[in-house]
Amino acid sequence: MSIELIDVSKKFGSFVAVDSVSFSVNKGELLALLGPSGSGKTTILRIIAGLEKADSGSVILEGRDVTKDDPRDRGIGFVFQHYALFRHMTVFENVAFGLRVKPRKLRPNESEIRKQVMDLLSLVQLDFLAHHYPMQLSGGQRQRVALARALAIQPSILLLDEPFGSLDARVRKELRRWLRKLHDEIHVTSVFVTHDQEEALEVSDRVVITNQGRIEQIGSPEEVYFAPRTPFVFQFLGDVNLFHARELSNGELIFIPDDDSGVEKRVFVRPNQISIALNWSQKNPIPATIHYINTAGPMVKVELKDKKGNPLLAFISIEEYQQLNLKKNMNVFIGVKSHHTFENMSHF
Amino acid sequence: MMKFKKVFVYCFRISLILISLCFLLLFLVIPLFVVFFNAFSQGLPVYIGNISRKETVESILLTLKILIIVLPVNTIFGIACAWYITRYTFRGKKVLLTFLDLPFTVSPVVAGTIFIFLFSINGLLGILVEKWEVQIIFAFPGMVIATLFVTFPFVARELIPIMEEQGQEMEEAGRMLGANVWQILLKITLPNIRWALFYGMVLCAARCVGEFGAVSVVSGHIRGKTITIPLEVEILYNEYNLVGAFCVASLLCLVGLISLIFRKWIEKRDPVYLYIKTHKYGD
Repeated sequence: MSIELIDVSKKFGSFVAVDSVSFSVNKGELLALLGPSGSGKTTILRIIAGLEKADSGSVILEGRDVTKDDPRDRGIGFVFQHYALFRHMTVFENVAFGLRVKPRKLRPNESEIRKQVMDLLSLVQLDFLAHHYPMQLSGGQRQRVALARALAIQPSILLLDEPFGSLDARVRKELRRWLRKLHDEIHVTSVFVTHDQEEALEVSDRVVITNQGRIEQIGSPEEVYFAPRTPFVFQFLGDVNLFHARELSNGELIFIPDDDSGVEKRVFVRPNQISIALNWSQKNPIPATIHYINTAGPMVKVELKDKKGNPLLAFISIEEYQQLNLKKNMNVFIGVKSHHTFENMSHF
Repeated sequence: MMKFKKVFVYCFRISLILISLCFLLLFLVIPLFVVFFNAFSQGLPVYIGNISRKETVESILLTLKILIIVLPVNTIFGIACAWYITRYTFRGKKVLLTFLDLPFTVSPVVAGTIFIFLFSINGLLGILVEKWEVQIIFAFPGMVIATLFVTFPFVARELIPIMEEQGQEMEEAGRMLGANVWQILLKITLPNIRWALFYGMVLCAARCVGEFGAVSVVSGHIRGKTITIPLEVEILYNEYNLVGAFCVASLLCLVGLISLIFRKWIEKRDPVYLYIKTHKYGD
């Protein structure tokens, strides 16, 4: 166990940022803290780093209780959201900083520093920019400098706060694959904060999903995506259609009930689990009207409205779309291929 | 109709420019010219003679002595104050910020009087004065204290906006990399605020040299002992030595002009500083 949080809470004034959160990170793991803004994920990261003091609870790193330790004694590399590069220093000096501020006894000599810094810069593929200033670099390059700087102190733990937050979409994707690759090479225990579910699911070994200062679910990307424990997790990880159906005693779901038999159920369905047909059938019983069609992308996005005017979203393949010859304002019938229901509906 | 409107706007603009030019001329350029004109009215030798008179040299030395103490003290105070205000949240922050402006709003004469009340033999802290047998009022220490009071906001006021703007992410990054407080201060904070700090010090020094009111009250006007440059100007003027007064006054003007030149120079060196000064906080 590399990082362990036990019952950590933190308030800012009357606002509860973190509400008795406990989880642990295994050695060498890449963990994502995923949640909407204001869900406490950055505060959790800063508490692990020691930049924020928890009101209660404890932080244990590599078996050592560091709850009261200064951040500089924790051996953590931290990558800030806006990089926080020292703007008055060159890239080289930025990366060398952590080595230069070491106590004299532990400080490597100049040639050793030079070698270590240049090694790190070539690891992040920026050795050719060593003597440039941060202001002269692109966003993605700054991000990599920040990473190299954090790695210079050979941390046992690496924390990244929204590491790709302020980059444009293409660079983001490139950089997060690169980060995954880098992590597989150097294997330092890492935690990164993100609000982008795609990013979390693609890069991490495990995901911690936070909401309103609490943990909703912890698990591998597959677990949280295919077996969400709460409606919040289900909704947060992708587009959702909500149906009010009735469940009969034999477990059958009726989407268009003609009487009050059975129990009312809220049913969550992903857009790609919705089928569209031109005629009514047992499989496609729900009448709906096509409202908008967007064909740009790998799937065709069809926006519909049911008889009550509730919006629905369906993703179908291009072949299916062409075969059905769907048009705006067409009346169609839709069906549900697979769905999710939750016992605990306290959030709704 | 359109044409008339255009002409009107044009005239309006021209008259505004003219008014400001007249104002500048009347209240800034002419007085400055008068000072230097009168100072040199009897030629350079007389000017040098006036400047190098024993009393004048003594007043210059005393002013410099005060400056040497006040400038470092207020620089350190300013950095500490700006650091505390921008890096911590605490109760009474607004009150502290208001108090910081006190020397700007309180008349220096009042400040001087306060110190007389505090440190004279019958004053609130008079017992201490008696006990330690140091003369504070009508002596060098009193003048230092009065000048300290009058000039303490300058450095902090320059630093607070720029430190607020920069935030503390860089300092936090330094902490995470293992730097201690002094390393953060010397290697991260100070290099990033150096131009604002320098300008704050220039302003502080200019005010320190030119301070009249508070120092005048506590000095007691003892010739050769408690006379600073501005007090020397007053004395010479009261003695009807107009040329002498203007000669010494020209020194003060020079200090003012040099600090303005410094400012322009700093703004050229640090565009970020200029940006913050003009866009975010006005000035």
